[in-house]
Amino acid sequence: MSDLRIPIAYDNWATETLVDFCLGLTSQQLELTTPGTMGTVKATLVHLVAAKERYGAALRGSPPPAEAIRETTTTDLGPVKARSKALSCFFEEFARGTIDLDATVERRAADGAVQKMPMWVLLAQFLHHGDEHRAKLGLIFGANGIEPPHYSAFNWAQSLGTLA
Amino acid sequence: MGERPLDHVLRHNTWATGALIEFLGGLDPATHESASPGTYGTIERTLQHIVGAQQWYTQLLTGELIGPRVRRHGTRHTLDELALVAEATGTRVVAVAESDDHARRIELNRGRTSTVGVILAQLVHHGNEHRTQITTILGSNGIEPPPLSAWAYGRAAGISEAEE
Repeated sequence: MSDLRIPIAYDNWATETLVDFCLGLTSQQLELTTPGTMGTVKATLVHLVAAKERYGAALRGSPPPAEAIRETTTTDLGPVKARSKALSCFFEEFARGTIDLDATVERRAADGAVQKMPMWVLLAQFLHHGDEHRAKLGLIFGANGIEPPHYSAFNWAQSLGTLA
Repeated sequence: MGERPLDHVLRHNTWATGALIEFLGGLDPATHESASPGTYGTIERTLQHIVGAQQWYTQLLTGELIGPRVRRHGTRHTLDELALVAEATGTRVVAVAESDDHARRIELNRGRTSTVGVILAQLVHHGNEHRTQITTILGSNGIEPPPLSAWAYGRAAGISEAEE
């Protein structure tokens, strides 16, 4: 079992928590943004999950499925919850196995360009990316007077009952 | 490089905070007093919080206080001082991740406990979250922030050519 199991489980929970929270917002709230971030709540959420689709695809070695969330085609947030859950299942299973950090993986970037890299780079970036864009969502909420959900790793542990 | 998957995630965290401090050192010090709506506070306070929290997490994991105590509202430390604490604590947690039992329980405060694995996950999340707040402040003030992704870490270390 990889020592990435805990940070990956946390990433899954935090993203699903943000997805659930965003799905409860109004259409006007989904269009909110704040300077210095990457765009609206909706665009950031779609990017968060779409990027996770691409990280998962790179680790599987196969393209994202037809139903994958994509920045270019996803306009309805309805499928985001189901895809987020499916991605959590994939990453959870992945973390249970043995990870060959030096194995070469191919990653297709948002612009379609294919890059090759050792797996450890992709895994470090995957975890960083989730944190970064969840933080941007938190920033937009805070700047617009919306109390963000609590999504730290301590909050996650508390939800599991492991932080007494 | 380390042999365990989490090593790379932790090394990225240490590198990113160091790169951010170095970048801030090249700015007009008045910039360090900037803030933006929805963020944690000024750049300077947020940076102190990043380093102070990492110092606390490291103390939880090892029982050791490394460097002078850093608090967000306490003594104001120079960038050089913060860089030293960030580097020393970052190096220490890599050693912890390699050798400690991630299921070992640790007392936090007010009688609460958690595990080594959760504290490491929180350390990574916390660094990414608050560095994002600083880069957002920079961006909202018209300053192009430095690249702090794991892609950038791989390039800086000369071990990956992957790009954003």
